[in-house]
Amino acid sequence: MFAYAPPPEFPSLEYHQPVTFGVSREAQFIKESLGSMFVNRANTQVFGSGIRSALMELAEIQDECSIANWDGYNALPLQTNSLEYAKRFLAFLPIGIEAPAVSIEPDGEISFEWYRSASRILSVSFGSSGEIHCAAIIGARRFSLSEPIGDSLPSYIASSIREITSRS
Amino acid sequence: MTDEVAGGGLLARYILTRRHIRSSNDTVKPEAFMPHPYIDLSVTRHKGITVDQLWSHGRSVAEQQSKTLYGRSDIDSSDVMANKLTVQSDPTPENPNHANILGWSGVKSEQKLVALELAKKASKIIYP
Repeated sequence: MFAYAPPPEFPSLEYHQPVTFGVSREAQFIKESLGSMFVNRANTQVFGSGIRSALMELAEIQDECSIANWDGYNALPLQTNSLEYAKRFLAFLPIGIEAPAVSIEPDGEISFEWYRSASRILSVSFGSSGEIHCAAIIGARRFSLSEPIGDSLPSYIASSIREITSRS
Repeated sequence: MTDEVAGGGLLARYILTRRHIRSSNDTVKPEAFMPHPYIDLSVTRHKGITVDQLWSHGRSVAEQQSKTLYGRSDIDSSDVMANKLTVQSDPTPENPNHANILGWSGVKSEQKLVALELAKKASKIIYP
């Protein structure tokens, strides 16, 4: 359980701006610059296609899963906060990191998946209170943990994605 | 009356949303094996029924929920128990082979990892 406040009101942007907790002019400048970089990147053919695809999947899930029982087993409806945190997380992904496949879990939380096989898989889901829940199988290694979402991509997630998506 | 299912035997998880299928290779996503926010995962035992009856139960579940039956994924109960879960029979008037997978961790990330393990062992989607 995390003592995190609900996320702030987000502007209805097609792409999500990175959020920083700083309030100084410098922090605002960095936030705006990062947001602008993300939008520019998402609009590029090469670096943006995975991000655009993930955003489209999120929109589809919003259409299909906003009503309870979308899975036939009494699943909860899509949690709006989870969707917002998922969009925020997308903006954390640096160039060179593959964009995830998008899914939804029975508690209404959005999940991102990096998958090559059942033995090379990372799943990250976004709790309504600002936590991420991760689980991975990478060969003989397994891990699971939950933590607050923070304001950047955790290094263990970045390295796990690289490990899963590398060609070797 | 319920009782714990002993030994092996296949269990079917009916898939009622396309969101649980990877169309690229017909595998079933771990989300199909997550009970959260509930404490049990509904399955149907193969034991003692024909494949036609198995599908009949699946169609019945889909009909009751006004959903499409996309298929089923089978998993051996020994693979379930290897993850420290139990299978408990829970017959219903419509489905005497109905069972629940119980014993899930209350910690979501741990539940996710078990779902990854189950999806690893489960069959690809089997279409009706």
